[in-house]
Amino acid sequence: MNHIDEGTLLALLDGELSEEEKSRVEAHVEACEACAVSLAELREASDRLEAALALLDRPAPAEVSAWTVRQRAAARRMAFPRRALLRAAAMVLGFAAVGSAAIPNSPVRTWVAAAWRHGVSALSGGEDPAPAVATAAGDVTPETASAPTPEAGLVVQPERRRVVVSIESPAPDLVARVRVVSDARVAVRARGEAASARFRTAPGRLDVVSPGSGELVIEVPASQIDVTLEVNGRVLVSKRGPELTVAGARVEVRPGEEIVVDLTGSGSVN
Amino acid sequence: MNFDEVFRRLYPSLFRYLHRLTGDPDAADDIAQESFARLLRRPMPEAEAKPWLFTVATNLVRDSARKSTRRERILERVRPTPSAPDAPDVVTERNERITLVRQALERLSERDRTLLLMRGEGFTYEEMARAVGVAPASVGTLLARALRRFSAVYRLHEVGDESHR
Repeated sequence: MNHIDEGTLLALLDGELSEEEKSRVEAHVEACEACAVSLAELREASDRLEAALALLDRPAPAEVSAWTVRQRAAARRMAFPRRALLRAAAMVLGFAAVGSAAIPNSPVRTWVAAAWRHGVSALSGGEDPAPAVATAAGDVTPETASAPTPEAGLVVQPERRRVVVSIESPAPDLVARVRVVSDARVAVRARGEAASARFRTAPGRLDVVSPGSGELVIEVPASQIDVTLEVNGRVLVSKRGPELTVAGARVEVRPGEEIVVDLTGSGSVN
Repeated sequence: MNFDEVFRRLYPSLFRYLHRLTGDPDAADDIAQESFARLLRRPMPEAEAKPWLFTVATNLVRDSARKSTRRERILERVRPTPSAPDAPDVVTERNERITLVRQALERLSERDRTLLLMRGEGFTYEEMARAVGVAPASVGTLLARALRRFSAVYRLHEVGDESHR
């Protein structure tokens, strides 16, 4: 007698067999001790797996809703129209450049060349000098403000020599760097889709909400200003005076050096 | 597609799947939300949303793990002295068992782990076949082997663990 293979026996347990096949397999198992043993072992292994996996479970966060996902998606969409516009502008400039190339010494040619350089630089997103940094206390009120460009930056004024930078719902592939600087100020710079995050400011605090993929650079002063970096409410980096702690471990970082913070909270790299 | 309804129905399942897969509740929530955010841009019949979401989420986990591995490799050179582990009496039996489950899952191939966890979320063999890129007829066999492997490693750890007590 040919035995039933384990895949088919498991399919029987999982209700994946057609009625006809199910009847055939069940009839065989009733008459075949070896297959009955295999079926019992599979059932036992299946129960063991189910019980083991249940040990890992915890309730899903109650505060997450379809609305929070819509907010996240909307924040990300803001970055795309601008990028599309820049691409379209670059194409128009490209055609104009080709056309004007036929006219030597044309002022249009000079203008197009300059505009082209600017357009390409904006598109590449990394060749411009560091983005302009606005002072949060002066230029941005404690209300929500959208980052206007694919590169954005804010300076956070300390409150009683303390600053909290809070990142909420970052994209999984967001790269966050903490850079120790000799300036006596805390600045946050966002590049790429991260610049489409919403920034909420308050004295001594900056919330970066739903930063997309890209890069966030948090500049912390080497001076005696305390800085806390939170991700989804969890403290990942804290600087107390000159001491920097990342995910619970002390890290030596000198001015001019930086660490990459693993936003999942497990560690950091230089 | 009624997005709110799909979210209400599938978010707990996707979160549970991702938490089982990653062991990190924050990452599970983040990747689940990211997958749903992408679903917003790709309207589709509700019946197709579940396999699509889980496949996207699995890919995001894989990408995230790849990046973490790259960072971890560098981290090894600069990692500060790790903090002392918890004292043995602080670690509960439950935590030990959770560690055993994780170890047993990690011993499986990525495909086998994905298949077992998707089965736990009520996927049909047809849906699992599409998600991991195998023939539907082979899903039963792959699952049975994965189940046996998990069970063998988990039971071995259990026995080893109990003999040390």
